[in-house]
Amino acid sequence: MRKGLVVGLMLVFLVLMGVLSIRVVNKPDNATSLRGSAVVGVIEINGVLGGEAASLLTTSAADSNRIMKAIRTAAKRPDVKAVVIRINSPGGTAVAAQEIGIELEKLRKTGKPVVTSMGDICASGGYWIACSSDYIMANGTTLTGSIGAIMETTNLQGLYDKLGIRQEVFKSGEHKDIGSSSREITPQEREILQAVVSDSYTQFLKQVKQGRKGKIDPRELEDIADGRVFTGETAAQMGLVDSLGNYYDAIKQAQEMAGITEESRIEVLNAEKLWDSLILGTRASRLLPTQNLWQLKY
Amino acid sequence: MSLIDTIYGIFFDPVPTLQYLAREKPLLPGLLVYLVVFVFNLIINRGLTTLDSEIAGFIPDGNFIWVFAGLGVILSFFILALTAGLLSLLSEIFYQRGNASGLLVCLSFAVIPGALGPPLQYGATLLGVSWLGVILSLLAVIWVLVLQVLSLREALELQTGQAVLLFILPGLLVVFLLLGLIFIIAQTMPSFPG
Repeated sequence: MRKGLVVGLMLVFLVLMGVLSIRVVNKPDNATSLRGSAVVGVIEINGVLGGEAASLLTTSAADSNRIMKAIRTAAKRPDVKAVVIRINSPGGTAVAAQEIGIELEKLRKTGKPVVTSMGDICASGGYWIACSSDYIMANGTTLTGSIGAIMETTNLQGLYDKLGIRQEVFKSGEHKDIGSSSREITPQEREILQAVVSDSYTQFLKQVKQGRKGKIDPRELEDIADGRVFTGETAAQMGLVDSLGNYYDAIKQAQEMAGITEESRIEVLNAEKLWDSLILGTRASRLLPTQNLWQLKY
Repeated sequence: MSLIDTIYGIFFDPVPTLQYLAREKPLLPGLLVYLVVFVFNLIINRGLTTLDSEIAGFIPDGNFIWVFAGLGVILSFFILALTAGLLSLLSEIFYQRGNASGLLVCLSFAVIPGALGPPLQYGATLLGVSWLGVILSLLAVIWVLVLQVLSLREALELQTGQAVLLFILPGLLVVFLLLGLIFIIAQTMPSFPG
């Protein structure tokens, strides 16, 4: 009887700790719930921006859906007083950057300050997102900029000819197979796609002008917005970023902007959950890229 | 002896319990207990990583963690069997006493107190006294080591000194092997053309 009680109590303790542990891994925002009440939410954007979760071969992809969900969580939770967006991304699809940017604008409208902390690289679509924050902080050697849009397609006609492959296309309109990899692109198609890229670039420029209003001269911006990259230090001199500092400086900046004086907690709002790491099997089915051969990218 | 009696015995009355295990060799419950402790520690340690790091999300990408964990389970069973076999073999060579399967069962059950270390560390970290958690975790490790020596003593019917020597013998052999290799390399080096 006594033995059963002792072993039972031990088991209860172990199970309790196990459950707590799983809960913490699944919901890291509970991790430090015993310390402080105000929260600085951190949202990480790591890798190439896209609308799909990371696959087995692209573990660094930044899933825009998940990032947007974290932004919405930050907006809803009353204990989250400020948000730091930690970006380490070379860009990605235009839509992913735009969607995240829109969600950040909504978050800012709630009155919570948003500070961007740039990691190794915060270029192109990454910089688009940064422009949707109140304050941008970069490291001196961060690579940033690359303001521009790009669309690429590969002409595999020569290879197909050598292999004896001929693609048969049935299309409803003249341009339905625009960007096809099985033939040379026509001048008219080139014009259409260039217009798409130019329009996208104009939108990017508008986003930067809006985000950096009063911090950089619009004409100066147009001169440097040709896709070139800058170091964080140069970007700070130009007005593309507000100041230089590391991740912790960005946290401090966010605390100051939110007027947090008490002890605050730092929580990563989009940290990977325990169950996410279990779905390796489902991710493995996507060994081959599922997107089209051409995409509009920032 | 039921499983509850065995677990209780490992904590509070280890010597007769290990004697019983070495004699009766309940292999399946032993391996099951070993597996449960391993998986449980894995979960708690994952929680500890999240809890301990100030920036929880900076933990490495977890995509492959369960693949590694699976490989870890297989590897740990392999190491357990190898340890039991090797120590039993060494005991046969040096002391003419062997009981590999009994030792395997004893070593499987000897890890039970190890299941307490990470949860205690986790609880202490939650309460903001992580230093105490580290000490408790270390004590759990020492407890397991002591039980492993006791396992050797009881399963192979050795004296305490013999069991300790046998326990550290594989490590000593590795050290001597490495020293020997270093010596050979040092002897060979001058012969290289300058």
